[in-house]
Amino acid sequence: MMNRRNTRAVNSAGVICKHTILVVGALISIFPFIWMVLTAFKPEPETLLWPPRVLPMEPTWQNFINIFTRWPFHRFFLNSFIFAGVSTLTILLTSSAAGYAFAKIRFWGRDLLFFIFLATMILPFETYMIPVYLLVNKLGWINTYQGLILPFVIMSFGLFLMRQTIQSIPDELIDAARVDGCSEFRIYRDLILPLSKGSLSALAIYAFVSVYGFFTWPLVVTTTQDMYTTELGLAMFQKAFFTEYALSMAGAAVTSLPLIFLFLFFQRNIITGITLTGLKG
Amino acid sequence: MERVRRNMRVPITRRLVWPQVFYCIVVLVPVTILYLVIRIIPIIQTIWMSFHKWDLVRPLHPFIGLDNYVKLFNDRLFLDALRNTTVFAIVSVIVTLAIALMIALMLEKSMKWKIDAVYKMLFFLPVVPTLVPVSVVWKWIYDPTYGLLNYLVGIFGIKPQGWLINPKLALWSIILMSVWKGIGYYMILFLVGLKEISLELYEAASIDGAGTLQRIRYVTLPLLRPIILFNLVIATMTAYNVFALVYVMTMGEQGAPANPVRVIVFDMYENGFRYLKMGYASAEATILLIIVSILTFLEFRSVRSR
Amino acid sequence: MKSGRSFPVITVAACIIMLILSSLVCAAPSKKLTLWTGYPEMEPFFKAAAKWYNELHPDVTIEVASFPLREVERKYAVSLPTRTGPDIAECHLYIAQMHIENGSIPPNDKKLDSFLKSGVYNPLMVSESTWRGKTYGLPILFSLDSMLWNVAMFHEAGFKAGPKDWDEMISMARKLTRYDSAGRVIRSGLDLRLFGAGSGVAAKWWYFLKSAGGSLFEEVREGKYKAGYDNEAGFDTTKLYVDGVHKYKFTSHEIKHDVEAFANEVSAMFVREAWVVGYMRKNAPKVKFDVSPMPAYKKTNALYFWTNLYVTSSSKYPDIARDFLMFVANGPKLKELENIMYNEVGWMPPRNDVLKRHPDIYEKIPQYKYFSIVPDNYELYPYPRLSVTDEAFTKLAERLVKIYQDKKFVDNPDALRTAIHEAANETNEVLKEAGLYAK
Repeated sequence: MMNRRNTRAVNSAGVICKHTILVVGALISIFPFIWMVLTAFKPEPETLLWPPRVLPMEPTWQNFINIFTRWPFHRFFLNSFIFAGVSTLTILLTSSAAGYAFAKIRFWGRDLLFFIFLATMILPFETYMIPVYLLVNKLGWINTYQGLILPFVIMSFGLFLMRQTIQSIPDELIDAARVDGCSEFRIYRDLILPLSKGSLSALAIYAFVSVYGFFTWPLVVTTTQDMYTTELGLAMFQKAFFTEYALSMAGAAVTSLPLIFLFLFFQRNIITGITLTGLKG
Repeated sequence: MERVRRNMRVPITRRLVWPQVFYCIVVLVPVTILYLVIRIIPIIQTIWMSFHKWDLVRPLHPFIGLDNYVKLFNDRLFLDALRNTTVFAIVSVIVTLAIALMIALMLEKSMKWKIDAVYKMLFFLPVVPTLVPVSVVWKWIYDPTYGLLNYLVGIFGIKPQGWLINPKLALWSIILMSVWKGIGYYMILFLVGLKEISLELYEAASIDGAGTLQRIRYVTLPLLRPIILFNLVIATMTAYNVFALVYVMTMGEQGAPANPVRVIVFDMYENGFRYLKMGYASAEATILLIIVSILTFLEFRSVRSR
Repeated sequence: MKSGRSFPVITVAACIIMLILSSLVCAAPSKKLTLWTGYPEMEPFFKAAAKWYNELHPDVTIEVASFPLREVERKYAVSLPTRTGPDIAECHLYIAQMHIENGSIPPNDKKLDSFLKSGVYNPLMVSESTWRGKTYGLPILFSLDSMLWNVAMFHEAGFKAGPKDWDEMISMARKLTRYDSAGRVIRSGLDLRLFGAGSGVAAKWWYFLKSAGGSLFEEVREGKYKAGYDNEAGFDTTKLYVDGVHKYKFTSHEIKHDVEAFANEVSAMFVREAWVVGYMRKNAPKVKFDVSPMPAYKKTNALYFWTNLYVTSSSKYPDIARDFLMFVANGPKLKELENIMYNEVGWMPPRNDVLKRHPDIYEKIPQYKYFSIVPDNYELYPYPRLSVTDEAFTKLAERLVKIYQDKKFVDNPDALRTAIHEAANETNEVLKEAGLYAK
């Protein structure tokens, strides 16, 4: 805009320079994925060629077939989707319902309670995993979906995000509803939820992606292969077939593609979600 | 119940009334119980365990006061971990944020172009997939014999390196991967901050004859300070808590040796789950808690002071 | 999530569906037992055993789960003390030791005990499986540690057999190494483990240490130990590594190592266990290799490595679990199970009467010979069994990695001795911590 003052030549040179940097950067940023996908299509001997070749000479589906026949990856996917899906739904419910209480209802100790909840966010889960494990064990939930999901039914970040969003909803709207005799639950359901749809969907994707990616908890809490998540399955798979590069790459591609598709699909929501958290820090 | 309350038209949001109390009880009691059971009590237990000699496989857990902490500060591995974590945090945070900011500045100026959305997407892509598949790919890129990176540096005449297995390089290789994975996230946050800066200020700056670099130096960066600080502290916190990244990269025969890349949570995990010294590991967790709390405190202050 | 209104309903519904699903998964058949192993390559063996056992006892299913070694040890650590572990655990004796000491693994019953002592196992296996007068577990797999060498490379260099002692080993290694024009190693003459996660680096160093006459722990008096390598043996062993990398340059940090290197023909020889044979048959069937006993130095000895199968205190059906152990060790399908070990797994079946059932195994797969029998003059030694073994090894490993990296230790005995002394101090600290130390 302001560059109009400058000469056109300088301007276009700048633009070219800028786009060169951007294109190179973008290529570096996605190259590992391209490499992963292309390698996954190579027959095994081709992976050991030197110098390495980018394109497969004789592309094959065999690696993908092998992964599903050698290991029950379809089962891992089911587990991962149950694990991440149910966790996400409960996180959405707890975050939005409690977020409404924290944003719009005044009660004694509210800010302190909120602060304590939020403060738990700063420790990584691994640091207090043992007491949680002992609890899950006491409940008899080792190697069950309940046990897998329990630690992730709440998310402080989600609570924070939902409180921030709901705070920005004008009080007048809520008051009007109250005057009309709506119960708090109806306000929550008919007013708050529809109005915070943007944040909810952003949180949904954020929660899904982060729960899907948890590794250490499934590692300790599952005891049989039929309860593995894809993360765990891939780690064990790679351990078992570590010299079969193309196969490992196909495994990596298969496990990461669902998330990439999810991202491409909901791109805007994800970016909005990050935007929201960043803005109101 | 609703109908009864209807008569009380006066109290609005300001005062607590029965339906709100009811809502709070129904919603907050279960949520609070969940928080207590799976977050707060385990964290308190961790702190409590740090004052005991607590071996996972032994039934007795005698109280030993601050012994675990004294031992920790004489433990070479823990001190290494503390140093590595700090190096990791400082370098990865500065590099990630610098690159993210640079890209954000480049993208911000020509928002009218559709292509910028594509750039944004491409830079954000590494943030999306989970760590295990990413580590599979990167371990192979770093492979000393067949790795792509050795081929690429070979073009520039650099000798092939054992990127992950050479103790002098391993931490840097992991930092490189973490930068690659983190840029997109902070880039988006910077773009948000940039959007907030009003166009008039830019116009004014350009009327005063400022060039692009000067404009960035004197207008953009000062106005971007809150978001830079915010990113800085969030990124440092995340970096201090780094674990899964290091864990997956040290996994397996192709993986990195543990010591050169030992970070606090990794050392804690090893003491707790490998040597079964839960008390000792808990002391480490508590120290981490203190470090991260201080960082968080700084964050609140820096954000508030704006 | 199109309509925000129905979302709480969806959540509740999803939770219910999940509960139903999980109850389906957990709806066990009448008696379900689990078995964990840290050796993924053993899976076909255990799965076959479970299947055949199920044919005999249709009401019992045994579910086999394998995890990488490091993970399974962690899983035992959290699950056995809390009695949520598997019914049957396959593990190293030094991992089992701490679980035995705290009661997570109960002693053998009469039947297992008398079978263990019936003479079908090497006496070393029996004595090492005994603690305070009681026996624990049954051996499930074993192997000696021996030298594997690439036949084509040896012929090319004019060698006919593996090295007999260290001097020969070093001179052969130097001849077998190949360099590129820039002087970098492109083929290790002798592949030594220089780095890698966990205790492996130190365990591999320890085989050579034992040949040099040292030990990880030296028993000072009954039940009390100190580091056994702060001496000439420790010095010689570490020197072998440092010289190998920096002086004779028969291996390097910038090249592939271990079985992968051997399979890709970038190393001429290395020390490992029998499972490599199974690995090579599967992954590099074209590479010809042979095996010879561990080269001697001050001592002529070799590691006798094995793991046990244990019934744990977590088991709800300890009798069935014990019966399964007997089925694996001495059941009607013994020969078939041993065949799986030989043909699919690569670890050696542990009974010393296997040749009765497989008289021609060393003709069929000659490489197995020196993984299961050694010349008479060889002394066998077991893996250290103290519960702190893993910690001592892991911490030592990290120090060794650093030493191997450092050129300053070449021809600098004082610096090297100091470094070893510091490492030994750390091992002593570990012992002290566990109350096992004495000067």
